[in-house]
Amino acid sequence: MTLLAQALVSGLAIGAIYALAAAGLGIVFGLFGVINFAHTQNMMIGAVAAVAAASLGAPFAVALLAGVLAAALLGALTERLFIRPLLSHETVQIDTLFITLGLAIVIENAMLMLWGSQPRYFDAPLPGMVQLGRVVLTMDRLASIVLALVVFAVLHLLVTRTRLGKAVLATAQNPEAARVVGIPVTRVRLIAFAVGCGLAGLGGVLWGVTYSVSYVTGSTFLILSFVLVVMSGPGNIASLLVCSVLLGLTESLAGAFFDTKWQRLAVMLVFIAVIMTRPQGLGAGRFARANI
Amino acid sequence: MHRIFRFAIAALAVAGGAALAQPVKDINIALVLPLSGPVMVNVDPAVKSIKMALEEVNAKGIMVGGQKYRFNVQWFDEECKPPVAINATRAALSQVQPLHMVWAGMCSSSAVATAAILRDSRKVVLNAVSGTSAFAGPKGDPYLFKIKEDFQWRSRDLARYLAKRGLKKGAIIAVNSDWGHESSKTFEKFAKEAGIDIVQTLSYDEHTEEFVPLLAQVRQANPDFIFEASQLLDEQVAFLRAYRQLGLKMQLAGESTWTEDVPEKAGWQLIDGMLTASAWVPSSDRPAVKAYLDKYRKAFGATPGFNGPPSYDMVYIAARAYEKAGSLDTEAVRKVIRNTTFDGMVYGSGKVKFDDHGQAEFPVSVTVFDAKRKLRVLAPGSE
Repeated sequence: MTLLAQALVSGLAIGAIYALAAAGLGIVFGLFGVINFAHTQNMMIGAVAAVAAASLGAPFAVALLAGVLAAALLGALTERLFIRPLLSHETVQIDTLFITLGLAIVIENAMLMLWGSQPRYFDAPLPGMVQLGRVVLTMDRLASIVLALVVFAVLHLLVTRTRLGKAVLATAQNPEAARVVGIPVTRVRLIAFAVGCGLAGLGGVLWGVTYSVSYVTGSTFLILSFVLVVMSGPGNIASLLVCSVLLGLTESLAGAFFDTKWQRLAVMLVFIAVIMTRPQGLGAGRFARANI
Repeated sequence: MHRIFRFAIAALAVAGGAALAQPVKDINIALVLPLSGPVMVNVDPAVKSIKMALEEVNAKGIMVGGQKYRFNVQWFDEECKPPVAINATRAALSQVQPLHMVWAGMCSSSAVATAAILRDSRKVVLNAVSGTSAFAGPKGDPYLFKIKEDFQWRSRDLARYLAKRGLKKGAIIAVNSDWGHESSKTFEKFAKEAGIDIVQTLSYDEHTEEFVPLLAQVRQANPDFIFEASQLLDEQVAFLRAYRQLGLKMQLAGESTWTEDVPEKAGWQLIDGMLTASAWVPSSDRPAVKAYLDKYRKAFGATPGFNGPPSYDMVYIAARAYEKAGSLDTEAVRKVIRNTTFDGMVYGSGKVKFDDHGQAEFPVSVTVFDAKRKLRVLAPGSE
């Protein structure tokens, strides 16, 4: 029983980070149909910027903000320099796929050369743990769960209750019509891209606080992020959160009851089962009302 | 007579000048190791140590038969992926001309994948990184020399030590790689021989950083000790943190990959009491070890990981082999390496002597990390 409880608690925490990592990809891929293979590099850049700021003596809140902003800036630059020029292409999806794949490789190796291969660590900004019997939840993991819930609630409200959110939806559904009614489509797309990448940066910082920061921090999440986006259904933020937690729990339970080496296999089996039964993704039906 | 004397002096001056101006020639080395990819962190100390040793050796020069040489090293990236390693090795063998020697710092999987290609090349190969013994031994490459202790020695000595301490039940946690499997199986074999019951064997993929579920499982089995075989620093730090977070008390023992760079990242309190067995003893008083560590720390601001010291020695072994052979001839150099005891080295006891199968013989010491920032020797290895 303790083992199960521990696995569930750990799975929730890891699911929260997965959700933040994949949220931006969900926005960009789900809403604009752009496959950004460099997306999870924003996680790495966010984590690197935050750990660098912290090592310079910045308080953790400032370091966190620096990480989010750095990732958002990289996202904005990616959109402006590499995505926007390709949007008019007939083969935009395949073009962006290869461009961003190349960009991901360049970013990772540039970071390896500039920053070195050694992992770096935050100096325990969130020490302590909550303990219930033999089940433990460290404060950094608890913070990840809380922050993910807050971020997703804000994101949901932003998209459903604000003009910006409606503009994003309109741009995603029909950019030409959106332009006709006066929505600055180009700017909206840039903002959505930057926000999505900033969220990945936040996920990267939380990952770094809980585990480590290195040049491979982002690439570890790439496949998983795409799995989450496809599994949750395009553009469905609430479903993305549910799927992230589901995969986090799957990983954790596989690690606790079998072997950690089976984690990815278990995740892929869940993914295949979902896609076989609901090809449109989990969010298309049951969670449809939560659609942004 | 006077004119003859002046002529002789002039001739000597010309000859001497010519000798002084004689260009330093190259000994061409192909170096194949992971220079990018996720395992780079592991090989980084090797890269830095090789560069450090190259600078020293080339500054002094290598005298071969009266001619001064320097190592001209061309680097090939194998990314720790066997297919890439095969391509990189083929490229190294064809592009470096004339190729005098190969230095390999490959991952175990890559070393196994490229073993046949290197054997067929009939070039002297020095390998200071690959832990596996799968490509060495009687059926291995007669031109290959491995500057790393055999898995078996470490596992044997550590298992015996744990048994002597009265620890009877063990769990093994190892990375899911060729290296991890070999380490796990080897340790299990020697643990059983020492009367230890292995109650659990678990593994995880490279770069795993969430160890809480796995260790919660180990807690259920309640072994006397955990033997941990990981190669990457991020895994090791995450493992230690999870171990402490769960409040586990069983004895920790680790592969030789657990070196001082781990507590430098994780904190010495976290690793206090952990045992390891290795030929690398950084707390040694030997001047070569002190000089190497001082220079490395000064240059890079960190302590080298387990791949650093043997890689540093590799450059010196090569230089001395050429000097002693007095020739660049492969057979002559191979013979020298096989028959020489290389003194004053950093790794092991400072003496490197290869056996008939090209495996360097090293004494293995059982050491313990203590919170006083030291890797203390508990059971020194014998020659």
